Amino acid sequence: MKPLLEVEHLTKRFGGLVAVSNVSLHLEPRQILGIIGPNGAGKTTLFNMISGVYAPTDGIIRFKDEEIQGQKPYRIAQKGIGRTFQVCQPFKDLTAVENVLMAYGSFHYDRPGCFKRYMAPQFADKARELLALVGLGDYADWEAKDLSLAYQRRMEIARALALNPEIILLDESAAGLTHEESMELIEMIRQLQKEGKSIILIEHNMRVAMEVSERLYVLDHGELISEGSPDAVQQDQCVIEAYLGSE
Amino acid sequence: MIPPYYLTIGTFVCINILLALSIGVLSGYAGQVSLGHAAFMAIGAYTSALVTRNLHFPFWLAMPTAAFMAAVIGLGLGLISLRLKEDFLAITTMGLNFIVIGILLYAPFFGRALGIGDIPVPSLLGHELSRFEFLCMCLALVAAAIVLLWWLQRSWIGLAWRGVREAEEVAQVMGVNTAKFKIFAFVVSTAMAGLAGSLYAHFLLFITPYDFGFPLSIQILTLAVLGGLGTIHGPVLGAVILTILPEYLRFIQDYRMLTYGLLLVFVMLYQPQGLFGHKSFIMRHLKPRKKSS
Repeated sequence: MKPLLEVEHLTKRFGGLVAVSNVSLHLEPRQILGIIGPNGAGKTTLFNMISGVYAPTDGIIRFKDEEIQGQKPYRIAQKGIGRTFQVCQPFKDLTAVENVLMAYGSFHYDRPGCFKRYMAPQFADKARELLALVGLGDYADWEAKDLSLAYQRRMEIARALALNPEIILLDESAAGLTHEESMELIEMIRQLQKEGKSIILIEHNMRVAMEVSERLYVLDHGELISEGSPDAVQQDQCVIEAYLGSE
Repeated sequence: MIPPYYLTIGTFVCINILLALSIGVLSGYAGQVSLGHAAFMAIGAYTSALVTRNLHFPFWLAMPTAAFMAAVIGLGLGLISLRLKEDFLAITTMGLNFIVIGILLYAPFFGRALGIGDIPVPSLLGHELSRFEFLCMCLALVAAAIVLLWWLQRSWIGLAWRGVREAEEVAQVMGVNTAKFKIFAFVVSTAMAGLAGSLYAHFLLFITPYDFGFPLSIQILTLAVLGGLGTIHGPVLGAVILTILPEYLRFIQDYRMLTYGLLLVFVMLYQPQGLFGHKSFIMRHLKPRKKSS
């Protein structure tokens, strides 16, 4: 099957610091990939490059055969790559439904439709549907700052879904969640896969990463040290050393 | 018959409302700071004065020309804002105010320190507008500006502006072309300031560079901030209060500005969202409370 997303020899340097070094990966349609690694391994930097927040120093990112590295984040979002953030980034003074509509509006912002009323019932209903999908149907009119962390994370997923993306990048979506909430998240990720979405997730919560990922990539100090099925990665000596240290 | 004094106050209220709304668009909606908005008022005032006096444009054509000229410079500032943020943008806009005043003061074409006089009184079908008619026109323009902003704020543009204001990087990842909407905010805002400048010039009939100095920029910002940024009614009410209040404080003469300043300090200390901003003390008590379920 032809990959949906191909990352080839991606490198990002911040001055003398190499945050990501020569990382390659590929994502197939309807696949769930996990990216794990200790703090500072370069996982979020990798997401930031895929979503256009950072331009890579070197390397290629190809989405549906088009090179997208260095493009503006809004262009990449409009092409169909949605993401969430490691530290929740809701528009705090906007309601949950307005947060979702912000992303839903990507179909209107660059067209004459930008003069349309954003809260028109047909748009608001769509946003409410997405919030209901992530279990926030009753909280649609709450201001984002009043939602709990778990709900803010769900709202971010709804917001990413509003872009109608083919790929969703989930950056530590299980962080700070209780066991039950993590289980609900796993269920939600599987549901999204069934609906045809491809997902890359960064996870510190190994249970979530191992349970949903079809393939895992392990980063350490910006370098890809291991890749393979969750079982294979778990046995990899390099991974064990990266997490636990060597004798 | 309304006394001329009240007509003058009413006209200045309208001009200040337009200025407050213009800064409201930029700072309240799009979250961009401007400490030099008087410059755009000056560009509007001088454009309108020069094209009516030298090129014999009718006022009705001069007014949109003034707004257009201010918007063109505003577009340039918008492009600059793509590279500058917050404090740096504020200082740049302040610098722009000084540059404009400097040009007006030193270029003979603009009348230097003596400014421009003999600005024609607006006329319609050969009839010169009276002060009352001028006020009615100003009120109509204020109403049009309010409708325009109300329409914009409930459109996707308004939502995009709020995204830019709250978290620009996040809005971009949500598919919002933030650069485009920042520039659009600058264009709308500066066009409104230019329009206010045109009204000012054709009301006073005589303008000098000193009318549009840095203190005026601060005053414009104060109108909107005191009323409540991020709303339409806030800047409108802020402009009404701060234009009329100094008139009522005349009885304390020498302490008028001191009282005025203290009032501002207290409002900012205890109501930083402005007197009529979202969730301000006044708005919380005016809005009906939700019944608990």
